[in-house]
Amino acid sequence: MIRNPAPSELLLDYASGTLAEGPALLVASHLAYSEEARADVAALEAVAGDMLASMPAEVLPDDALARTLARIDAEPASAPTSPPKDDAMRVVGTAIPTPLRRYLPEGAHWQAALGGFEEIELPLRDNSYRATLIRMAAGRGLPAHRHAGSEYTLVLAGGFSDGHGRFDRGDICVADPSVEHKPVADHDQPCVCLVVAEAPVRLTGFFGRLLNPFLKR
Amino acid sequence: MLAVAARVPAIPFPHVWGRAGSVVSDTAPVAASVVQPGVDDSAELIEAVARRRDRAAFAELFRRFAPRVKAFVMRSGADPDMAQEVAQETMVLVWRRAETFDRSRAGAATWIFTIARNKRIDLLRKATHADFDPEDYVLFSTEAPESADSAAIGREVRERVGVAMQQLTPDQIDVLRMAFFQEKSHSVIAKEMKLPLGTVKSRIRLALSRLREAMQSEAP
Repeated sequence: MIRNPAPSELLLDYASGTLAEGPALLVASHLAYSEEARADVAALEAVAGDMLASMPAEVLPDDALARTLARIDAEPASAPTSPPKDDAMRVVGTAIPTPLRRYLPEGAHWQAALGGFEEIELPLRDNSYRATLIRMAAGRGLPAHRHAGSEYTLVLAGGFSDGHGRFDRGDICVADPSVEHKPVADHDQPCVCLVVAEAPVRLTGFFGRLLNPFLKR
Repeated sequence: MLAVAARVPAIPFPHVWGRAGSVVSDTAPVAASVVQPGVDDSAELIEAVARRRDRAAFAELFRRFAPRVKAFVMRSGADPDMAQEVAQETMVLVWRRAETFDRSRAGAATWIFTIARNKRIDLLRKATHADFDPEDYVLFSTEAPESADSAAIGREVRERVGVAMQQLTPDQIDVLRMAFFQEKSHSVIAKEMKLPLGTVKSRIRLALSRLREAMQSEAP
Protein backbone atom coordinates (compact mmCIF):
# COMPACT_ATOMS: atom_id res chain seq x y z
CA MET A 1 0.00 0.00 0.00
CA ILE A 2 1.46 3.31 -1.12
CA ARG A 3 0.95 5.96 1.54
CA ASN A 4 1.25 8.93 -0.81
CA PRO A 5 -0.37 7.76 -4.07
CA ALA A 6 -0.85 9.81 -7.23
CA PRO A 7 -3.82 12.18 -6.87
CA SER A 8 -6.91 11.00 -8.80
CA GLU A 9 -6.85 13.98 -11.17
CA LEU A 10 -3.31 13.09 -12.22
CA LEU A 11 -4.45 9.53 -13.01
CA LEU A 12 -7.37 10.85 -15.08
CA ASP A 13 -5.14 13.24 -17.03
CA TYR A 14 -2.76 10.34 -17.62
CA ALA A 15 -5.52 7.99 -18.81
CA SER A 16 -7.06 10.62 -21.10
CA GLY A 17 -3.66 11.46 -22.56
CA THR A 18 -3.82 15.14 -21.60
CA LEU A 19 -0.92 15.02 -19.16
CA ALA A 20 2.33 16.53 -20.43
CA GLU A 21 5.13 14.09 -21.18
CA GLY A 22 7.09 14.75 -17.96
CA PRO A 23 4.28 14.12 -15.46
CA ALA A 24 3.03 11.24 -17.65
CA LEU A 25 6.46 9.62 -17.30
CA LEU A 26 6.17 10.06 -13.54
CA VAL A 27 2.69 8.49 -13.42
CA ALA A 28 3.72 5.59 -15.68
CA SER A 29 6.63 4.91 -13.32
CA HIS A 30 4.45 5.25 -10.22
CA LEU A 31 2.13 2.55 -11.60
CA ALA A 32 4.97 0.03 -11.25
CA TYR A 33 4.75 0.46 -7.46
CA SER A 34 1.05 0.85 -6.79
CA GLU A 35 -1.53 -1.82 -7.46
CA GLU A 36 -4.29 0.64 -6.50
CA ALA A 37 -3.15 3.18 -9.08
CA ARG A 38 -2.94 0.44 -11.72
CA ALA A 39 -6.51 -0.60 -10.95
CA ASP A 40 -7.69 3.03 -11.10
CA VAL A 41 -6.03 3.68 -14.47
CA ALA A 42 -7.40 0.36 -15.80
CA ALA A 43 -10.91 1.39 -14.65
CA LEU A 44 -10.61 4.81 -16.32
CA GLU A 45 -9.29 3.28 -19.54
CA ALA A 46 -12.14 0.75 -19.47
CA VAL A 47 -14.59 3.65 -19.22
CA ALA A 48 -12.86 5.32 -22.17
CA GLY A 49 -12.95 2.03 -24.13
CA ASP A 50 -16.65 1.78 -23.46
CA MET A 51 -17.13 5.36 -24.63
CA LEU A 52 -15.16 4.59 -27.80
CA ALA A 53 -17.29 1.52 -28.50
CA SER A 54 -20.44 3.64 -28.13
CA MET A 55 -19.28 6.41 -30.48
CA PRO A 56 -21.42 7.08 -33.50
CA ALA A 57 -19.27 6.01 -36.43
CA GLU A 58 -17.73 8.64 -38.69
CA VAL A 59 -17.65 8.01 -42.40
CA LEU A 60 -14.41 6.69 -43.82
CA PRO A 61 -13.64 6.61 -47.54
CA ASP A 62 -14.38 3.30 -49.25
CA ASP A 63 -10.72 2.60 -49.81
CA ALA A 64 -9.66 3.27 -46.19
CA LEU A 65 -9.30 -0.40 -45.34
CA ALA A 66 -7.40 -1.14 -48.55
CA ARG A 67 -5.06 1.79 -47.90
CA THR A 68 -4.44 0.65 -44.34
CA LEU A 69 -3.65 -2.88 -45.53
CA ALA A 70 -1.30 -1.37 -48.11
CA ARG A 71 0.56 0.43 -45.31
CA ILE A 72 0.78 -2.79 -43.37
CA ASP A 73 2.23 -4.58 -46.40
CA ALA A 74 4.57 -1.75 -47.33
CA GLU A 75 6.37 -1.52 -44.01
CA PRO A 76 7.95 -4.66 -42.64
CA ALA A 77 7.01 -5.32 -39.05
CA SER A 78 9.61 -3.81 -36.77
CA ALA A 79 10.09 -3.82 -33.05
CA PRO A 80 7.36 -1.55 -31.68
CA THR A 81 9.67 0.25 -29.28
CA SER A 82 13.37 0.14 -28.70
CA PRO A 83 14.11 -2.29 -25.89
CA PRO A 84 14.72 -0.49 -22.62
CA LYS A 85 18.34 -0.16 -21.63
CA ASP A 86 19.34 -2.99 -19.34
CA ASP A 87 22.33 -1.20 -17.84
CA ALA A 88 19.99 1.05 -15.81
CA MET A 89 20.88 -0.84 -12.63
CA ARG A 90 24.58 -0.21 -13.16
CA VAL A 91 24.09 3.45 -14.14
CA VAL A 92 21.51 4.45 -11.53
CA GLY A 93 22.53 2.02 -8.79
CA THR A 94 18.96 0.88 -8.15
CA ALA A 95 16.18 -0.85 -10.07
CA ILE A 96 13.97 1.64 -11.90
CA PRO A 97 10.64 1.10 -13.71
CA THR A 98 10.67 0.33 -17.45
CA PRO A 99 9.28 3.71 -18.61
CA LEU A 100 12.21 5.45 -16.93
CA ARG A 101 14.73 3.02 -18.40
CA ARG A 102 13.47 3.98 -21.84
CA TYR A 103 14.28 7.62 -21.11
CA LEU A 104 17.78 7.06 -19.76
CA PRO A 105 20.11 8.67 -22.32
CA GLU A 106 23.11 6.89 -23.82
CA GLY A 107 26.17 7.26 -21.58
CA ALA A 108 24.14 8.64 -18.67
CA HIS A 109 25.94 9.00 -15.35
CA TRP A 110 25.41 10.78 -12.04
CA GLN A 111 26.68 14.35 -12.09
CA ALA A 112 27.32 16.48 -9.03
CA ALA A 113 24.85 19.37 -8.83
CA LEU A 114 25.18 22.62 -6.92
CA GLY A 115 23.59 22.07 -3.54
CA GLY A 116 25.26 18.77 -2.68
CA PHE A 117 23.23 16.19 -4.58
CA GLU A 118 23.67 14.30 -7.85
CA GLU A 119 21.49 14.31 -10.93
CA ILE A 120 20.87 12.73 -14.33
CA GLU A 121 18.73 14.73 -16.71
CA LEU A 122 16.21 12.76 -18.80
CA PRO A 123 15.61 14.27 -22.24
CA LEU A 124 11.93 14.87 -23.10
CA ARG A 125 10.36 15.70 -26.46
CA ASP A 126 8.00 18.11 -24.75
CA ASN A 127 10.06 20.61 -22.77
CA SER A 128 7.26 22.24 -20.78
CA TYR A 129 8.60 20.14 -17.91
CA ARG A 130 12.07 19.04 -16.93
CA ALA A 131 12.61 15.45 -15.75
CA THR A 132 15.62 14.69 -13.58
CA LEU A 133 16.80 11.74 -11.53
CA ILE A 134 18.10 13.05 -8.21
CA ARG A 135 20.29 11.19 -5.71
CA MET A 136 20.67 12.49 -2.18
CA ALA A 137 23.27 10.90 0.10
CA ALA A 138 21.99 9.33 3.34
CA GLY A 139 20.96 12.06 5.74
CA ARG A 140 21.69 14.77 3.18
CA GLY A 141 19.15 16.91 1.38
CA LEU A 142 18.34 19.38 -1.32
CA PRO A 143 18.55 23.11 -0.71
CA ALA A 144 15.26 24.61 0.48
CA HIS A 145 13.39 25.70 -2.62
CA ARG A 146 10.11 27.02 -3.94
CA HIS A 147 8.61 26.44 -7.37
CA ALA A 148 7.37 28.73 -10.06
CA GLY A 149 5.14 25.87 -11.25
CA SER A 150 4.14 22.36 -10.23
CA GLU A 151 6.76 19.90 -9.11
CA TYR A 152 6.18 16.15 -8.73
CA THR A 153 8.62 13.82 -7.02
CA LEU A 154 8.49 10.02 -7.18
CA VAL A 155 10.67 8.08 -4.74
CA LEU A 156 12.57 5.27 -6.50
CA ALA A 157 14.81 4.14 -3.63
CA GLY A 158 15.18 5.04 0.04
CA GLY A 159 12.95 7.74 1.46
CA PHE A 160 12.89 11.40 2.42
CA SER A 161 11.10 13.90 4.63
CA ASP A 162 10.54 17.51 3.60
CA GLY A 163 8.93 19.15 6.61
CA HIS A 164 5.44 18.48 5.19
CA GLY A 165 5.50 14.70 5.07
CA ARG A 166 7.48 11.47 4.78
CA PHE A 167 7.88 9.75 1.44
CA ASP A 168 8.90 6.15 0.78
CA ARG A 169 9.61 4.15 -2.34
CA GLY A 170 6.70 4.48 -4.78
CA ASP A 171 5.29 7.59 -3.07
CA ILE A 172 4.52 10.79 -4.97
CA CYS A 173 5.16 14.20 -3.42
CA VAL A 174 3.27 17.08 -5.08
CA ALA A 175 4.54 20.63 -4.55
CA ASP A 176 2.90 23.72 -6.02
CA PRO A 177 4.22 27.30 -6.04
CA SER A 178 2.86 27.95 -2.54
CA VAL A 179 5.08 25.28 -1.03
CA GLU A 180 8.62 25.80 0.15
CA HIS A 181 10.21 22.51 1.04
CA LYS A 182 13.57 21.04 1.92
CA PRO A 183 13.74 17.32 1.20
CA VAL A 184 16.20 15.40 3.41
CA ALA A 185 17.04 11.74 2.76
CA ASP A 186 16.61 9.14 5.49
CA HIS A 187 19.72 8.55 7.59
CA ASP A 188 20.23 4.90 6.75
CA GLN A 189 20.46 5.01 2.93
CA PRO A 190 20.73 7.26 -0.10
CA CYS A 191 17.48 8.41 -1.68
CA VAL A 192 16.88 8.29 -5.45
CA CYS A 193 13.93 10.21 -6.89
CA LEU A 194 12.44 11.23 -10.20
CA VAL A 195 11.71 14.95 -10.08
CA VAL A 196 9.45 16.48 -12.74
CA ALA A 197 9.26 20.26 -12.52
CA GLU A 198 7.19 22.62 -14.61
CA ALA A 199 9.19 25.81 -14.51
CA PRO A 200 12.39 27.18 -13.04
CA VAL A 201 12.95 26.24 -9.41
CA ARG A 202 14.01 29.14 -7.16
CA LEU A 203 16.23 28.41 -4.20
CA THR A 204 15.23 30.16 -1.01
CA GLY A 205 17.32 30.92 2.06
CA PHE A 206 20.47 33.05 2.05
CA PHE A 207 22.90 30.54 0.54
CA GLY A 208 20.30 29.18 -1.79
CA ARG A 209 19.66 32.63 -3.22
CA LEU A 210 23.37 33.00 -3.91
CA LEU A 211 23.21 29.78 -5.96
CA ASN A 212 20.23 30.84 -8.11
CA PRO A 213 22.30 32.51 -10.85
CA PHE A 214 24.19 29.24 -11.34
CA LEU A 215 21.14 27.05 -11.81
CA LYS A 216 20.48 26.06 -15.37
CA ARG A 217 16.80 25.52 -14.68
CA MET B 1 -19.75 0.61 -52.81
CA LEU B 2 -21.20 1.97 -49.63
CA ALA B 3 -19.14 4.04 -47.26
CA VAL B 4 -17.74 2.06 -44.36
CA ALA B 5 -19.90 3.65 -41.70
CA ALA B 6 -23.09 2.73 -43.48
CA ARG B 7 -22.34 -0.93 -43.01
CA VAL B 8 -21.88 -0.74 -39.26
CA PRO B 9 -24.76 -2.69 -37.73
CA ALA B 10 -26.60 -1.08 -34.89
CA ILE B 11 -26.72 -3.13 -31.74
CA PRO B 12 -29.47 -1.77 -29.53
CA PHE B 13 -27.96 -1.03 -26.16
CA PRO B 14 -29.30 1.85 -24.09
CA HIS B 15 -26.23 3.53 -22.84
CA VAL B 16 -25.40 5.60 -19.81
CA TRP B 17 -23.27 8.07 -21.81
CA GLY B 18 -26.28 9.18 -23.79
CA ARG B 19 -28.32 10.20 -20.81
CA ALA B 20 -29.96 13.56 -20.74
CA GLY B 21 -29.33 16.42 -18.40
CA SER B 22 -25.58 16.50 -18.72
CA VAL B 23 -23.80 19.74 -19.48
CA VAL B 24 -22.23 18.37 -22.63
CA SER B 25 -25.25 16.37 -23.74
CA ASP B 26 -25.47 18.26 -27.02
CA THR B 27 -22.47 16.27 -28.13
CA ALA B 28 -23.65 13.08 -26.49
CA PRO B 29 -23.25 9.93 -28.53
CA VAL B 30 -26.57 8.29 -29.09
CA ALA B 31 -25.25 5.38 -31.11
CA ALA B 32 -25.37 1.83 -29.93
CA SER B 33 -22.22 0.26 -28.61
CA VAL B 34 -20.28 -2.11 -30.86
CA VAL B 35 -19.53 -4.09 -27.74
CA GLN B 36 -22.35 -6.02 -26.14
CA PRO B 37 -22.24 -6.39 -22.41
CA GLY B 38 -20.55 -9.60 -21.43
CA VAL B 39 -19.44 -10.40 -24.97
CA ASP B 40 -16.09 -9.40 -26.32
CA ASP B 41 -15.85 -11.08 -29.67
CA SER B 42 -13.62 -8.23 -30.82
CA ALA B 43 -11.06 -9.79 -28.48
CA GLU B 44 -11.32 -13.00 -30.49
CA LEU B 45 -10.77 -11.05 -33.71
CA ILE B 46 -7.59 -9.47 -32.31
CA GLU B 47 -6.40 -12.91 -31.21
CA ALA B 48 -7.08 -14.25 -34.72
CA VAL B 49 -4.90 -11.47 -36.14
CA ALA B 50 -2.20 -12.33 -33.62
CA ARG B 51 -2.27 -16.07 -34.30
CA ARG B 52 -2.92 -16.33 -38.02
CA ARG B 53 -2.51 -12.81 -39.45
CA ASP B 54 -6.18 -13.26 -40.26
CA ARG B 55 -7.14 -10.53 -42.76
CA ALA B 56 -10.86 -11.17 -42.55
CA ALA B 57 -10.72 -10.73 -38.78
CA PHE B 58 -8.74 -7.52 -39.27
CA ALA B 59 -11.26 -6.21 -41.80
CA GLU B 60 -14.03 -6.77 -39.27
CA LEU B 61 -12.04 -4.98 -36.55
CA PHE B 62 -11.42 -2.13 -38.97
CA ARG B 63 -15.12 -1.90 -39.80
CA ARG B 64 -16.02 -1.78 -36.11
CA PHE B 65 -13.35 0.51 -34.76
CA ALA B 66 -11.74 2.71 -37.44
CA PRO B 67 -14.88 4.87 -37.96
CA ARG B 68 -15.23 5.21 -34.19
CA VAL B 69 -11.62 6.13 -33.59
CA LYS B 70 -12.03 8.80 -36.26
CA ALA B 71 -15.15 10.11 -34.50
CA PHE B 72 -13.38 9.99 -31.14
CA VAL B 73 -10.43 12.03 -32.40
CA MET B 74 -12.66 14.55 -34.18
CA ARG B 75 -14.46 15.20 -30.94
CA SER B 76 -11.26 16.53 -29.41
CA GLY B 77 -11.12 19.13 -32.17
CA ALA B 78 -8.98 17.48 -34.85
CA ASP B 79 -9.99 18.02 -38.48
CA PRO B 80 -11.47 15.03 -40.35
CA ASP B 81 -8.29 14.33 -42.36
CA MET B 82 -6.11 14.23 -39.27
CA ALA B 83 -8.68 12.14 -37.39
CA GLN B 84 -8.73 9.70 -40.29
CA GLU B 85 -4.95 9.52 -40.25
CA VAL B 86 -5.00 8.71 -36.52
CA ALA B 87 -7.67 6.05 -37.15
CA GLN B 88 -5.67 4.38 -39.92
CA GLU B 89 -2.39 4.49 -38.01
CA THR B 90 -4.19 3.09 -34.96
CA MET B 91 -5.41 0.15 -37.04
CA VAL B 92 -1.90 -0.42 -38.44
CA LEU B 93 -0.74 -0.77 -34.81
CA VAL B 94 -3.66 -3.05 -34.00
CA TRP B 95 -2.28 -5.35 -36.72
CA ARG B 96 1.35 -5.04 -35.64
CA ARG B 97 0.82 -5.32 -31.90
CA ALA B 98 -1.98 -7.89 -31.86
CA GLU B 99 0.38 -10.32 -30.09
CA THR B 100 0.64 -7.96 -27.11
CA PHE B 101 -3.13 -7.91 -26.58
CA ASP B 102 -4.05 -9.72 -23.37
CA ARG B 103 -7.74 -10.03 -22.69
CA SER B 104 -7.10 -10.63 -19.02
CA ARG B 105 -5.76 -7.07 -18.79
CA ALA B 106 -8.12 -5.09 -21.00
CA GLY B 107 -11.10 -5.48 -23.27
CA ALA B 108 -10.69 -4.99 -27.02
CA ALA B 109 -12.21 -1.49 -27.03
CA THR B 110 -10.06 -0.45 -24.07
CA TRP B 111 -6.91 -1.75 -25.74
CA ILE B 112 -7.73 0.04 -28.99
CA PHE B 113 -8.54 3.21 -27.04
CA THR B 114 -5.04 3.21 -25.49
CA ILE B 115 -3.42 2.77 -28.94
CA ALA B 116 -5.56 5.58 -30.40
CA ARG B 117 -4.83 7.85 -27.43
CA ASN B 118 -1.08 7.38 -27.86
CA LYS B 119 -1.31 7.84 -31.64
CA ARG B 120 -3.26 11.05 -31.13
CA ILE B 121 -0.55 12.38 -28.82
CA ASP B 122 2.16 11.27 -31.23
CA LEU B 123 0.61 12.82 -34.36
CA LEU B 124 -1.22 15.84 -32.94
CA ARG B 125 1.04 16.94 -30.14
CA LYS B 126 4.31 15.50 -31.48
CA ALA B 127 4.94 14.10 -28.02
CA THR B 128 5.28 10.66 -26.49
CA HIS B 129 2.96 8.96 -24.04
CA ALA B 130 5.06 7.15 -21.46
CA ASP B 131 3.46 3.75 -21.20
CA PHE B 132 3.31 1.63 -18.14
CA ASP B 133 4.92 -1.81 -18.52
CA PRO B 134 2.48 -4.44 -17.21
CA GLU B 135 5.30 -6.93 -16.62
CA ASP B 136 7.23 -4.42 -14.60
CA TYR B 137 5.47 -4.42 -11.25
CA VAL B 138 6.56 -7.95 -10.49
CA LEU B 139 9.89 -6.36 -9.70
CA PHE B 140 8.51 -3.79 -7.33
CA SER B 141 5.22 -4.87 -5.88
CA THR B 142 5.23 -6.41 -2.45
CA GLU B 143 1.58 -7.21 -2.86
CA ALA B 144 0.16 -10.66 -3.55
CA PRO B 145 0.57 -11.84 -7.14
CA GLU B 146 -2.49 -11.86 -9.36
CA SER B 147 -4.74 -14.86 -9.32
CA ALA B 148 -3.97 -17.52 -11.92
CA ASP B 149 -7.44 -17.09 -13.34
CA SER B 150 -6.76 -13.54 -14.43
CA ALA B 151 -8.70 -14.06 -17.67
CA ALA B 152 -11.88 -14.56 -15.69
CA ILE B 153 -11.07 -11.48 -13.62
CA GLY B 154 -10.52 -9.43 -16.77
CA ARG B 155 -13.86 -10.55 -18.13
CA GLU B 156 -15.62 -9.65 -14.92
CA VAL B 157 -14.03 -6.22 -14.86
CA ARG B 158 -15.30 -5.51 -18.37
CA GLU B 159 -18.77 -6.70 -17.57
CA ARG B 160 -18.82 -4.43 -14.57
CA VAL B 161 -17.72 -1.26 -16.32
CA GLY B 162 -21.24 -0.68 -17.60
CA VAL B 163 -22.72 -1.36 -14.19
CA ALA B 164 -20.06 0.76 -12.51
CA MET B 165 -20.76 3.74 -14.73
CA GLN B 166 -24.39 3.73 -13.71
CA GLN B 167 -23.23 4.40 -10.16
CA LEU B 168 -21.76 7.72 -11.26
CA THR B 169 -23.58 11.02 -10.89
CA PRO B 170 -24.22 13.20 -13.98
CA ASP B 171 -21.61 15.64 -12.61
CA GLN B 172 -19.00 12.94 -12.44
CA ILE B 173 -19.89 11.61 -15.89
CA ASP B 174 -19.54 15.10 -17.37
CA VAL B 175 -15.99 15.34 -16.09
CA LEU B 176 -15.04 11.94 -17.53
CA ARG B 177 -16.69 12.76 -20.84
CA MET B 178 -14.83 16.04 -21.14
CA ALA B 179 -11.57 14.29 -20.28
CA PHE B 180 -11.92 11.47 -22.78
CA PHE B 181 -14.14 12.88 -25.55
CA GLN B 182 -12.79 16.40 -25.61
CA GLU B 183 -9.26 15.63 -24.47
CA LYS B 184 -9.28 18.15 -21.66
CA SER B 185 -7.14 18.12 -18.55
CA HIS B 186 -8.82 18.49 -15.16
CA SER B 187 -7.66 22.12 -14.88
CA VAL B 188 -9.14 23.01 -18.29
CA ILE B 189 -12.37 21.24 -17.29
CA ALA B 190 -12.53 23.33 -14.11
CA LYS B 191 -12.06 26.51 -16.13
CA GLU B 192 -14.70 25.63 -18.71
CA MET B 193 -17.25 24.49 -16.16
CA LYS B 194 -16.44 27.58 -14.07
CA LEU B 195 -15.81 25.42 -11.05
CA PRO B 196 -13.13 25.67 -8.39
CA LEU B 197 -10.24 23.29 -9.09
CA GLY B 198 -10.92 21.55 -5.77
CA THR B 199 -14.49 20.73 -6.82
CA VAL B 200 -13.32 19.06 -10.03
CA LYS B 201 -10.62 17.15 -8.15
CA SER B 202 -13.12 15.84 -5.63
CA ARG B 203 -15.53 14.83 -8.40
CA ILE B 204 -12.75 12.81 -10.01
CA ARG B 205 -11.83 11.28 -6.67
CA LEU B 206 -15.45 10.32 -5.93
CA ALA B 207 -15.97 8.97 -9.45
CA LEU B 208 -12.89 6.79 -9.10
CA SER B 209 -13.90 5.45 -5.72
CA ARG B 210 -17.37 4.56 -7.05
CA LEU B 211 -15.87 2.88 -10.10
CA ARG B 212 -13.46 0.98 -7.87
CA GLU B 213 -16.22 -0.10 -5.52
CA ALA B 214 -18.53 -1.24 -8.30
CA MET B 215 -15.80 -3.14 -10.10
CA GLN B 216 -14.63 -4.92 -6.99
CA SER B 217 -18.04 -5.89 -5.71
CA GLU B 218 -19.58 -9.30 -6.32
CA ALA B 219 -21.06 -9.84 -9.76
CA PRO B 220 -24.77 -8.97 -9.80
